[in-house]
Amino acid sequence: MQRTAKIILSKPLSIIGVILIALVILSALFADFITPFPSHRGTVVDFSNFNQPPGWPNIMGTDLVGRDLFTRIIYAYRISLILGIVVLLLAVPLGVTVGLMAGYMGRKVRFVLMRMTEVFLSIPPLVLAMSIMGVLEPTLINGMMAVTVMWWPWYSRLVYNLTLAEKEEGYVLAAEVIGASKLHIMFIEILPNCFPAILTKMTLDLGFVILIASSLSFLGLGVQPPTPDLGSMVAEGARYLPDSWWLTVFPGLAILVAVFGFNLLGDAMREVLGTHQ
Amino acid sequence: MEHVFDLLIRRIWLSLLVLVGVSVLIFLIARVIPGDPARIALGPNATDEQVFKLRGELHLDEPIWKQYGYFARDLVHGDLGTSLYTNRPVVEDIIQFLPATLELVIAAGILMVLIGLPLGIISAKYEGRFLDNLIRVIALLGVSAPSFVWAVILMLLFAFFLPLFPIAGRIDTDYDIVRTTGFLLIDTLLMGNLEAFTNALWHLFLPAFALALSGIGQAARLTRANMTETYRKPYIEMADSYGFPKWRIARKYAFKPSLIPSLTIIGLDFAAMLGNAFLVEAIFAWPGLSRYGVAVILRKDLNAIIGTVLIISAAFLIANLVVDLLIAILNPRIRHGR
Amino acid sequence: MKNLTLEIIRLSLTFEGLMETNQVLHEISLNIAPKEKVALVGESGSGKSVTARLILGLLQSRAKTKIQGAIRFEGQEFGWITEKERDQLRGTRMSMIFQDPVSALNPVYNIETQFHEVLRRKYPLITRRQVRKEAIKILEDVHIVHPERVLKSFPFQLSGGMNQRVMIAMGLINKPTLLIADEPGTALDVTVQDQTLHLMQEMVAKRETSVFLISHNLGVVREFSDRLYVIYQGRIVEEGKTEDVFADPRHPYTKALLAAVPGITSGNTIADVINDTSAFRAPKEVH
Repeated sequence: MQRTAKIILSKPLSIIGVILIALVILSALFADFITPFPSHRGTVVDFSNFNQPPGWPNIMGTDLVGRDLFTRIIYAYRISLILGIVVLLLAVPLGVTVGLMAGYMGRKVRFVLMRMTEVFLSIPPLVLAMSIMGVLEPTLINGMMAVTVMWWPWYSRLVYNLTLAEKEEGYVLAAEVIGASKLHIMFIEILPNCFPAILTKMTLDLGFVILIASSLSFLGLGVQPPTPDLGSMVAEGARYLPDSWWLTVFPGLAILVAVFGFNLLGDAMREVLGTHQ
Repeated sequence: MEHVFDLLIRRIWLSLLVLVGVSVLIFLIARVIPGDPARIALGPNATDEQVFKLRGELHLDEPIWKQYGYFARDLVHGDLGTSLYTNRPVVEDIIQFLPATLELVIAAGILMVLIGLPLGIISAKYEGRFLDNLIRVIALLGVSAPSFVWAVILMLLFAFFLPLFPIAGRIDTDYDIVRTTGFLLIDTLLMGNLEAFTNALWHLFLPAFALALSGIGQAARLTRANMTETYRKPYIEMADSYGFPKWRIARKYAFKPSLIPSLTIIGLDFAAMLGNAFLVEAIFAWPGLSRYGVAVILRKDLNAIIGTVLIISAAFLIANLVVDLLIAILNPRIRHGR
Repeated sequence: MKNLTLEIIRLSLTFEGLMETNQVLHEISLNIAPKEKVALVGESGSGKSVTARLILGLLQSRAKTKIQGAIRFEGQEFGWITEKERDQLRGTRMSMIFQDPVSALNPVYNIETQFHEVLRRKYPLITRRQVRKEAIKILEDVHIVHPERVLKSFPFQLSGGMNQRVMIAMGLINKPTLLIADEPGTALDVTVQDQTLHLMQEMVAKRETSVFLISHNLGVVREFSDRLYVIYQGRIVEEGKTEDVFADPRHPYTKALLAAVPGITSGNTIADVINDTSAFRAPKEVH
């Protein structure tokens, strides 16, 4: 573990990744202290100072009702990270369990579970989440649910493939010979060997969940105003291109920075842990 | 070749099975809606009588499996019901809007393959060198932003700042296009109007590129990963130890076997593009399924939602069929039945 | 002095890794005369395989690889010729056969195409028809009954033994002066491995090719080679005629190796001798 961390930190690109992630997480955690106008995350209106280009004290300009864009971006990070973490905490255990069962429990279970997984994977990800958001009210909780529903099948497929390979290994046969229960073999014997691949995917996915969630809210199907959200900020600002370019460019770049950071780190992990999919 | 044919038949059956699954799933999602779909559709001013009548028409009072039965029966007859938003058959709406979206997605798919694969090959061939690192960073940036962010950035740079491309739309309004297929590139050619064709192509480039960027990144990354793995295979070492020219090894020996796994992911990326097209269309005012899709979702127009999702999933399954077929043709193991 | 086919003089190889540098070869010297069959024996990780790849010139252009010493092939010093000239030797003057023929043959091309690629190295303008003629001739030499059918096949459609024959044929079709055999057939079962050795013996005798055999299997070496070198942790610890070394192993490591093979001397296992590896550091023995 320490060795892994050491190798990851010896590559310039992954150092940049770690720095970007640290910046995003720390700024989200301490948003109340580092943002110049913490109250601007809510419904503040300041028409004397609306739609201002980047300058001082609004380093990224102000939005159409005069709120500080930088403040709102940092608070949006907070929402995005919470959403990403919750989605993964729900989707990963579900997908992993399905994948383990499909891989280990015999042909009928495999057929049913993997066909089901395939059905979910056959709907383009964003479209599935959109249609779920379509029937539900657009709230943060429902957004998390919609993204979770589209996300778990990726883990069940990953773990299914890993399980197929692992169950032929000697240690699994040994456990079977001494009469360990299926539950024990799946979760105690096989699962730990899938951890490197799962962890790598989770790191990459934290970025991608943020990306997909911002896409949903860009379409007006995610987090609703006044809660700050990067996707809906871009959508609102897009009508005022090119003159008020900062309304779209800064939230857009904010998404790019966060996702890029997670991707850099995830890539380095994949290389070091040797978890190709 | 007959193995390829068998495989195709089997894949078509499986795809149909999956499509049935998708229809069940979407149907269920649409029916768990909180509140009365008929009431929502008719709006707050409708009388109870009107609501009761619509409930009857939609079979909302019968058990859910029977409702699905009615739905499936109509589906087989090519009837997806009436959109409560446009008051037209959903099929007609989709026929009107789908070609523009497909044109955009196919163009993006072509860009993805034409740019992504070569980048991946170059990256793998120069593994560990500067060029490789440069391509990797660019590819990673490509996948790190949603397509609407790229759309905004490309539009600012190449339509406003450097006015090289048009800002929005599919074609300049001064062209009168006779609609035959709905695909502007085809319709303009059918009319023999090369000028309009060029104009449509010119409008298509920026949105297609914005949509393709994450696919390009993904394709390049994957091709690189597969190729560097192939480069470690014994048969590459054998080719090397027999002194085959390096470019020949890259092209014939490392690329072709690596293409097979890459193709699968390209199929999946195509699926992602079908969804992401919504995002790009919104920025470039592209008259495709996006505006329709978002509008019907916001209005909880169930028939239209189900129809749109089904059509997009079908398009995705067809794309995957094509990919499977290509793999079967490229891979001698499948071609010769093993 | 007669012209040696291959001469390696005080060759060292160091990989400069991310964390540490790793010296893989320590000034090894060996030579192979024309028509001679020479073996390099050692356990995995001892530096056998990298030696073969250095002779082929495969590692020279790699980054973070430091090479010292000299390799002379037919009197040509590798350090003096250009990379292009060195590449020119591979597949024409020297060739190699690999441990696992099934994975060393390219899965997406049929055998004929692969013969074409190899023959093209020596005769760049060769036609398909000539390729077929040459390939059928040599496949008959390696006792393949239906060469036409094999040429149209893909590697995965042939048995391991069949692939092995194809590989030997490919290795020799350009009549190289040196054939490097890296653990030939170890990936296959014992009978096939045995056939492989006999076939190789027969083929190289006919063509007067020198062979550099790399193996961990003393049985194979004893049966096949004229002379042998024993390598341990990147150092040559003993060299001599095969029968001399087997009759009178002098270096502690060679003794341990021989002792570990059941049926050759006593019933000792490697565990009996493994605990005093310090003795394996003893200086080189020459017969």
